[in-house]
Amino acid sequence: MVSMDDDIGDFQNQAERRSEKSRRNNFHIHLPSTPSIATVLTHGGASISGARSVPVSSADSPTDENELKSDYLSIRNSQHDRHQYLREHIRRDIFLEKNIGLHSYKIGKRRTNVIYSYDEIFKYRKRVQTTIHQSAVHPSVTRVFWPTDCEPQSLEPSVLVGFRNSRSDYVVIAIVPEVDISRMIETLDGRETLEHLSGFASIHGAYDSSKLCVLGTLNFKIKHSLPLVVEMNSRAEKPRFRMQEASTAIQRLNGHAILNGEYGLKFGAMPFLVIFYERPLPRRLQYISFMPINLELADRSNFNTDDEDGKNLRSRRILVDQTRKHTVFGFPQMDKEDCINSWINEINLSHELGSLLEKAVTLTNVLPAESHSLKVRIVVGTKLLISRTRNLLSFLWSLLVMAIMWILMGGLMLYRVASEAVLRIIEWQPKSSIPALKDVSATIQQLDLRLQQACYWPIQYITLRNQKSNLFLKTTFHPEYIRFYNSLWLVANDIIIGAAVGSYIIDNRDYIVAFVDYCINEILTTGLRRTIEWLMDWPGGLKLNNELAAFFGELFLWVIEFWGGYLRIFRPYLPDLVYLIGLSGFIGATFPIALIADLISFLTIQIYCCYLASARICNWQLTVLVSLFHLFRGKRRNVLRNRIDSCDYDLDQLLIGTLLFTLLTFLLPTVLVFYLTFACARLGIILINAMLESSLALLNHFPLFAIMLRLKDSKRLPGGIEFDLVEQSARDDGSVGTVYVQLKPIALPVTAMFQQYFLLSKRIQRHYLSLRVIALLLTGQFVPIQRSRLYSLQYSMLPENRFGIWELWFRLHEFSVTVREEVKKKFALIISK
Amino acid sequence: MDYTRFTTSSGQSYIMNPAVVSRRPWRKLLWVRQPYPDNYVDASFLSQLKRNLHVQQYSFWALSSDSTVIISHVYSVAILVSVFVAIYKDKYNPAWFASIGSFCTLVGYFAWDGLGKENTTSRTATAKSAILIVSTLLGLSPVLKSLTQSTSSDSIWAISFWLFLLNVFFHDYSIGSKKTFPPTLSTNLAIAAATVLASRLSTTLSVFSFLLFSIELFGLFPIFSRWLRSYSFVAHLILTSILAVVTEVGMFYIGGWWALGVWSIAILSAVFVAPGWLIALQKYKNEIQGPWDPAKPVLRSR
Repeated sequence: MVSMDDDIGDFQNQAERRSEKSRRNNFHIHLPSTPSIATVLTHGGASISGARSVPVSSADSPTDENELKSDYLSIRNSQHDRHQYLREHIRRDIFLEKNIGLHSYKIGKRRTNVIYSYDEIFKYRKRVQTTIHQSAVHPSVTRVFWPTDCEPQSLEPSVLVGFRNSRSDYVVIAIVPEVDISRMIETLDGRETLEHLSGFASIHGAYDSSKLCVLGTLNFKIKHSLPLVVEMNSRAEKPRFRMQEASTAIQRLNGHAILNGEYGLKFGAMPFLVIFYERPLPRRLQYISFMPINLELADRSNFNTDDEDGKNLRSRRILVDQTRKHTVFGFPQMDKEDCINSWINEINLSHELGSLLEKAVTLTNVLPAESHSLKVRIVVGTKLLISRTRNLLSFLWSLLVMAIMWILMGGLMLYRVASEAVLRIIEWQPKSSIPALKDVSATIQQLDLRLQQACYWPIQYITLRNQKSNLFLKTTFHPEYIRFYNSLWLVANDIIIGAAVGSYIIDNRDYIVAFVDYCINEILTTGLRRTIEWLMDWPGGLKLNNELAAFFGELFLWVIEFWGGYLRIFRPYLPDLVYLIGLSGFIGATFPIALIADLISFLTIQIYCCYLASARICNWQLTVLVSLFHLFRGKRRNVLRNRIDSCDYDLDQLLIGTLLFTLLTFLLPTVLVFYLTFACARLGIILINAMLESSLALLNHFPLFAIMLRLKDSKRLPGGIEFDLVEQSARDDGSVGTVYVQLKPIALPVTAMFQQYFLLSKRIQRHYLSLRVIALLLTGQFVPIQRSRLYSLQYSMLPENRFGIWELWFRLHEFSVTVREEVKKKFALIISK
Repeated sequence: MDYTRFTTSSGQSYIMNPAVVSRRPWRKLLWVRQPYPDNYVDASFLSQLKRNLHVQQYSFWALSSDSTVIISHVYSVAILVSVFVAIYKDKYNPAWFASIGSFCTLVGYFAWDGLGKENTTSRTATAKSAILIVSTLLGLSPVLKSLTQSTSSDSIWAISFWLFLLNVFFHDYSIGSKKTFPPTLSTNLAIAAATVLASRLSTTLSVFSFLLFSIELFGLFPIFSRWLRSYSFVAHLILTSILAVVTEVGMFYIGGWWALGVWSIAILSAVFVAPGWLIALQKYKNEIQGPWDPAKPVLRSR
């Protein structure tokens, strides 16, 4: 945790300063320049440097030109402050070097430090946000986001449209060729057209419309007063940027250079940071995101948090929060903390808004139709005709949808009521100590999962439909979309595999029946009997107590014979049962697997009973032995203080206790041998069941759709962003001129898709392969199998509490109303034209 | 710094004679900076050393009379072993031993009850616990009989030998009568040894009798003998000599003349030779004490 060290350093630095207020004063006076992304990426891409800025001379600050060059630091008012600042600055640069890629940074071809744990991402995001924000606010550098995919083909003069976040921070979203600047400005002013064109009400408020403006020009010959001037000679070359000074920003100060505001920087001397980006295509559901896309539901992503892991996580989060409070940056905190998010939002909007703008511009071109030639009129006429037929078709389609929906709604409600009844039965717990039906049987658990999924699908679909119409909720829309189709895909897959498995089972029914028969007769009855008889007869030379071994043997033999008798009754129905298992394959491969798991549990009930009995006896005996051992030594356990006290026992207590102690010590091996035999048998059964259940988990939860998306178009699964240094050009005076950086979306790594599996395997390891479990097993204590914990993976795609019947009804109703209104609107559109 | 270096030009350090250079006398204080080198040893360094401060001079007869305490406990172990051998060889009715033991216990109890002044437990409670123990023994005897059937006899002899040895070592031989009683561990060890031995016996009656006898011998007899010792030393001597006679008979029974001879020599050497040897060794005692000894914390003995 290097950043922690940074924190400490910052903290010490803070201690050096007298108070918060004086620190702020210091900042305003003495920190004229701050590091930024641009500055970090100089020096051949590998090392770090601060921003080069023009010195502000004053009486007590002698300027050492060499030092300035080597450090790229700005001048301080006093020598002392300067040293302090140097230290701080260098340290911060180290920090920046570590965090420049947000989640990952890449210098040259080497990528390092990809962080995916929640805490770290959270921490780094905050850090990087602050840093980027600082560089956004401080105009030591002019930042331009440049869409590489919309550079005009023949580099004709074009107008740049985009967002102007601050005086030195521009996001170009569209390059519109062959347009007059004034017309562009008009188009932007008449935003109603834009919003009308978009066809969605939601474009209101999706962005700060005051920021959307004409930013500058590309290859324009005519003089203008826009801030950005870009020239581009050929497509192979990088665009060259120039800034036009706004007259209001110019002041004369101290008779020196032209300064920009209070920051002491010459406007023209400010280096450019050009960030190339490719506009994500919303039609293909691409988007970029700062945080990795979360494929699980938010409240499910960390399993349920009331167990041990959750507690750890929570305490760590509290710690992280506290350390964040101690973080001190040399900058004042700004109001707009979500600067990075606004950029990302603007970049995500860029394609949509750009195409809207182009449409709007052509519309303003076309509208005065009478002044145009016949050819143009024909073009316009055909366009109109096409749009009308499209309107009509979409009206008919939505009519059809409405009709189907009305039928479906009734069916859905009926289904929902029925499934609610089944779910209630499955989840019914007469007492909190008695497990519900679904916790006992894997089949019922599977049924429960499918029913819950089916209950959730309509709601998911409606949410998707509602969000689809809203352009700007992409970050919530996409995971929901992936979840929905992933579960649909999995079910379809399940059924396909299940049909194969089921028909295979039905075809080979005789072999399977013979095999199960063999298992019941040879392993579960004869094999067990032979084992117990062996145990009764001094197994492996172990000298057990004959009488006790005989007693135990008789008891367990009786249980096994009893259950064997029942199994013989059950035998004739075995072929039918196997046939049933085969048939269940046609509703999904998970069902035969779950049924087999249940069948194994059913056939081995006698082993479970024997295990339970012997474990109880063994545990009881060990407990008694421990307390009698204390008595033997003249001690006793003090429960109140949880320690061993010495104690004066009465003579009769001592005598009887010692007698029993000797007795039980000599009987222990016998009990232990019987217990361990059944514990091993039980462990074997648990292992088989665990294998079956993990295959269930794979079938139910495998991120199939996500992997498909990852292969098809990795931009649909964003896992963060990274910046690559492309090129940097120097000015004539050797200072940094323009730095070109490529913004690249990182695809979600495969490990992040399988995050849940990693968590689950870690949990299983903790709960079943630890020393604690072995100790529990040896002392005959019950090793709990927390099915609900194992299954939390399966339910991670479902909300914690399923939506009720009324909820579904309301949603459906609401949905039908919106659909009806859509239909009405479309009808009105047809009528009007 | 008023620190004088005691290093010659060749670099060797030496100890200055205080008579030559008049300085402040050396004090045995670490926290005072003194004009002496670190390895300086003053003549007065061991002046406060004391030798054999707490050594007592023993008298032979006191030692040998005290050793009868140990001897009497060893006697009871020997008696138990003889009784076991007698029962194991199946030559006597085991009920005899139980009856003799119970009779002696009753006699002892009444003597203790009649003469003792500080009886705290009521007679009914004593009777109740006696009945409890006897009935438990009756119930457990059949189980105990078959407890170690599958174990070989040799391991049982070894286990019981070690348990008896530990019992002899852990027994509380202190003479003061006011100690709380019984000493838990040694009693438990003896009872465990007796239980292990009893599990080798063939009939339920012999197991019961032997266990009853051993409980009387190890649970109740120490209380009586301790009381008797504090009550009258002569009575204690008489009791010890009775025990000695009984043990001699038992030893003779177990191993004939040869065992009797070895046993008698061992006992006599414990009573007469060992105290003399201890007194002879006293002259080698070299106990050093001084002001540097750390204070000894006083701990509760049990």
